[in-house]
Amino acid sequence: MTSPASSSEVKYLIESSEGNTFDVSGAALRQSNTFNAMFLNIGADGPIPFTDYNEATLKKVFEYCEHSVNEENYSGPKHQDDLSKWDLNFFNEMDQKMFIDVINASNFLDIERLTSYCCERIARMLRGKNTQEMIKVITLPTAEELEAKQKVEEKKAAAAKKVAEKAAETAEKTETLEELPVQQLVQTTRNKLTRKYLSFSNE
Amino acid sequence: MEKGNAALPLLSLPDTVITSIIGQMEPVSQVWLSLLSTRARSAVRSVGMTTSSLNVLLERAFQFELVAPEESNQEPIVIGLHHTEEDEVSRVTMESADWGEAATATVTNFKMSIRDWIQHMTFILNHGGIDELKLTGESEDFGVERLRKSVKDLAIKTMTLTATCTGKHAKEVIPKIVTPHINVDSALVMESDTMAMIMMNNFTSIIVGGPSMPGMTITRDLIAESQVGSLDARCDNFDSKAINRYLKQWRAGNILNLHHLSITIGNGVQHDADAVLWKLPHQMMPMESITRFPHSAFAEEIVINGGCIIKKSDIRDREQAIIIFTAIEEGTRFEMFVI
Repeated sequence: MTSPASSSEVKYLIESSEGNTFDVSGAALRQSNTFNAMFLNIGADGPIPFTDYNEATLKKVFEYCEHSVNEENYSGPKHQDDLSKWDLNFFNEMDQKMFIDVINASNFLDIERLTSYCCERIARMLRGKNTQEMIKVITLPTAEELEAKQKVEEKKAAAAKKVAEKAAETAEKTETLEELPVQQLVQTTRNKLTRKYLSFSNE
Repeated sequence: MEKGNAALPLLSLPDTVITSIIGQMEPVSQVWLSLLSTRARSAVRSVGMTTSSLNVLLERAFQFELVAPEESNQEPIVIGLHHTEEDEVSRVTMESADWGEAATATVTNFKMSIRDWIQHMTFILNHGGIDELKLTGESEDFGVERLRKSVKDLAIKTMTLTATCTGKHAKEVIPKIVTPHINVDSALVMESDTMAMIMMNNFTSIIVGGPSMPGMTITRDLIAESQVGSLDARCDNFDSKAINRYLKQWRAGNILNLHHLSITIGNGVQHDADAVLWKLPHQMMPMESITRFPHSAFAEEIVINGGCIIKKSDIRDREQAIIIFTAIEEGTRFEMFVI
């Protein structure tokens, strides 16, 4: 395994819906369970495509991840009152559209801490409101929106299935490399990936 | 998120996000949210509101009581449905002893009837029906036919005749509402001849009278004739001799349905074991001997330590019963478990 100090220096390239790429540290990216499942042990050739989300949204999400790199491991939802000044500023400076985009991206990337804070924030917004008051705050989805949502859910399920298949395939291949202990194998794969992305980002 | 005033597309968010948001809302907000649309209703249902039971109380208004699981230490939430003569709900209130003020709202644009509300609540709580239907003196004004229509097709686990429920009202309701268990906490019911009607109805279990109720006259003959499977009652008119006669009736095979009998004799007199077991073949069990008795009314097991075993006189009938006496503050509790 790479040490925390060295992993923070590793950079990965992320590709947004506009086709733009930008750097994210390995330590920040590893807060995404989706990344961990899809790319950490399998590898990726070239930039990591998160092309369902725009650059501004992804940058915002990874800004949060970069900030919380040194925070203790996530252990369940935290009350908004316990959030730091930085966290509060982070949420307050977003408009509602950006906030919703961030939730969607954070949910897709499966960043537990950020998703949970966003959810708690919405729950808090609805607290104490009755149905009539909620109607003023919540828009009900149109048929088109529901269809789009369905497509995203299906896409996510298909990606999860693909990941599971790939993981099973990798596990099968790993079994054939009997001489290499698992830890050593992971380290070797990581080193390869690290070199690849470091050189890529230096280009 | 403080910037901008765009409305929140809550229900367009991914399902896992919606579930997490609703899960962090308090029960009252979950109920209000569930009224927004069928999608909102399904989303609230999928979260699984933390209630252990759904009770209906007919008092000031048509009221639901959402009881939180015991370990949560939360007071029940009472949802009051204030309705018109046509059963349309005009105002909804939510109250809990845990909250400083009641949460109230006027829901005029939903056009929901009391029955719609019951179905809505059982849906979002994922409850098969109503756990307890509590009848009061005021439910008499609501009318039996309206009540029947409101709870039609819903399973009602228990019906409770509360302290203010009259015998007349009980008599009208019992044939119309089907439920396996009944609790009688009203002296008004017990003083009328309704008690006989209750005993002869096909209830699986009957509990008569809480600790504050006076002892009532449930006769040995009435118990013998009853179709009930479990009876828990306070009967001050029972004494050791009456119990002895009852046990002899059972031994002779004249009592068919009753499998659990618990009688509290609250006259301060302790039982006379010799009189209870007079001319009754029996076998004493050591206190270390444990028997487990499944109690159908509460879906729980009763653990019996020791006791006295009696058998049917007909040797082909292998049924036997354990008898227990417990000294209590008011007098004695006699219990019989047919095993």
